[in-house]
Amino acid sequence: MSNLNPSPEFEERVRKAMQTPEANPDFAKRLRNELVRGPVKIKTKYFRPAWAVAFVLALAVIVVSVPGLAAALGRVFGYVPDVGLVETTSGLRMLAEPVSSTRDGVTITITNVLVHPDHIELMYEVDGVELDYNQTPDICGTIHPDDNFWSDADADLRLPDGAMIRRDYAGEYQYANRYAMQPVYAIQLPANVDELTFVLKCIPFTKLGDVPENWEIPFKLVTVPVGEVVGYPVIEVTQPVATEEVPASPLAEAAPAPKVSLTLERIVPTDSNTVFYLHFNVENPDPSLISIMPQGVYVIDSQGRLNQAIGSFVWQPFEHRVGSSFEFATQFKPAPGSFTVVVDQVIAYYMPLYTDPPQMTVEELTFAFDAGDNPQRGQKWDLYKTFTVAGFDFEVSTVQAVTFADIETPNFIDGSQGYDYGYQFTVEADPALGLSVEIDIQRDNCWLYDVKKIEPAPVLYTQLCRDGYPTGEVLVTIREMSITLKDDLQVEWKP
Amino acid sequence: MLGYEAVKTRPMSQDELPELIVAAKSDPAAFGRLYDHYLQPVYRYLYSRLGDSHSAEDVTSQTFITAYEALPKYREQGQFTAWLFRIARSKMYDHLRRNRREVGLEAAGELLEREDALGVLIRAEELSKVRFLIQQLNEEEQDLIRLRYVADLTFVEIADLLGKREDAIKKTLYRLLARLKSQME
Repeated sequence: MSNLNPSPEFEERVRKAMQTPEANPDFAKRLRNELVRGPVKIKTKYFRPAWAVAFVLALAVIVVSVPGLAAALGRVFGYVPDVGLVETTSGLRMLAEPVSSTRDGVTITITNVLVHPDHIELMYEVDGVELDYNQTPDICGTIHPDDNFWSDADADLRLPDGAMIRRDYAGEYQYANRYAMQPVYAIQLPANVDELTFVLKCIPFTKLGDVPENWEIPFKLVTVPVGEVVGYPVIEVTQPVATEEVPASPLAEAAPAPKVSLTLERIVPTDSNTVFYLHFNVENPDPSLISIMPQGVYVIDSQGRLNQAIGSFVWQPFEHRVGSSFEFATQFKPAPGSFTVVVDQVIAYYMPLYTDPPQMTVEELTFAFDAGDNPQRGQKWDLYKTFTVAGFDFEVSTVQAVTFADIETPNFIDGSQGYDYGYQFTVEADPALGLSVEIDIQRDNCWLYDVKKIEPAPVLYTQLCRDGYPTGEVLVTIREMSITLKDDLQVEWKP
Repeated sequence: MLGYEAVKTRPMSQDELPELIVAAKSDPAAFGRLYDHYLQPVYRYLYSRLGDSHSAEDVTSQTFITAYEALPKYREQGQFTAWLFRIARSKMYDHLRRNRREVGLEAAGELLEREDALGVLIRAEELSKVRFLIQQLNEEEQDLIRLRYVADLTFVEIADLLGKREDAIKKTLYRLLARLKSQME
């Protein structure tokens, strides 16, 4: 091998050719502060593709996981809608009262402000605007390649002495015709400052010049006495609750299905609904199991009414969140008294390549087929490649050359974006498993994908590529597998 | 390096690392020190693949927040770097998949041009050619080069990350460089 050793000069040349800038110091400090104080609830970043927004909104059930740091016992929590659990710590301040400003039919309302010892969370809502998610230069908040982290769409805070505070994170949400933002500012606000001014150059996702700009809204803060609950009181569920485990099913004998049980941790009755926190307990999970997600959750109240539960969903498949808590809210206020929470199916996700340590190698989860020099739409290859992940068997039986038109649905609101040609894999498994997979064609230009389940089987997994069909030997890797545990889980709560 | 003066990557001995990892499981300040050590390699690696600072910052944040949350489950076996970069790569691929766009090495070129203006000795044409040749490599090969020459990972760390033997990684990389060099000549 010695004759292959590169010279230090050539290595240096490669290093120079690959040279990239280092992280901006402001960003580096901000992130460090966030980590060292314990990550607060990190909102989805401000700018995301419109198709992603549509996808999230299209989900029937969405979930937010609660940071483990906030789950410690013995703390006083309140619940603020759209903010979540708020711990009353010494020195916590909040908005004295909501304030609004209306100009030309557009209203901005600051609905919540929470001043923690080391950061400020603010919420504002916008009424009377039409949103435009196109990232074009005439839209407020459009990120240009050369821009930094912020834009004119970011709400700043002005202190009485004129100092401006820029946001560190920003979440957004939207419901009905209302649009709202949740900037978070990493700052230790001086104790004597109880008046701030909200400053916004333009309203995010609106066309510049179409709606009023340069907003300034002053607001006042008040101190929350220690021990006093901010928002709705939270009921910590300490009583023993009936937790039903997944009943034995034919699946359990055929394969090592994870044994999942359910715990109800907290309940928050609000004026309009009930918020509750669930915890999934997994017994002897396979080492490659990385996440358990509910398919659907509903509540049956004391009058027998079924009440679908909804939350917001943070898709974090690599965070080893087995057993973490999830927040749900009923769609309407349940009848007083006891209720039963039902989890309608649970999906178990396995990623043997991403666990620590990895449970399988890339080679074990990779197969190849010869697409030839000139693949044609509709051309089909028999594969019959079998895999076993976490004890579950499945087979990639065929692959077919397809185009974007073959999988196009209204969900692809951005169209193909140039990912027009690819391959559709047929994945066969025991229909009782409700198995799905994620498959990667090992080419740099293949990303767009679609999964279709033909009930009861098979699964059709499509991945599309730019610049035509991949030709020659095509390497394909199974990245993820999931199964559906079809038995319901339920837990009853009695006040 | 451009744009980075206030917060530098802290040097750390390999002896110090295991103790710090254990401490970081329950002590955010200790995690802060790990962050200081790893921020720049992770950021550079992500920037070189994603091509813009906004995306690189976004995915870097996700990487470290995930690492922070997952650290209690990490079992120290001398593979922390590989573990952290595995998270970074997962987040990066997730980001690319969600945004469905391709980024080449243009970012590196921009920096190069600025450095050339400052009179860097190595001729820009040569580096442009190296960069062009690297762009022609497949993703796996480009990734290997990024891990080694952008993130500055050792062969052992790359081997841990990719689940391969150290000598296999070294051989692959050196063959790759030999091929690049022959194409340069």
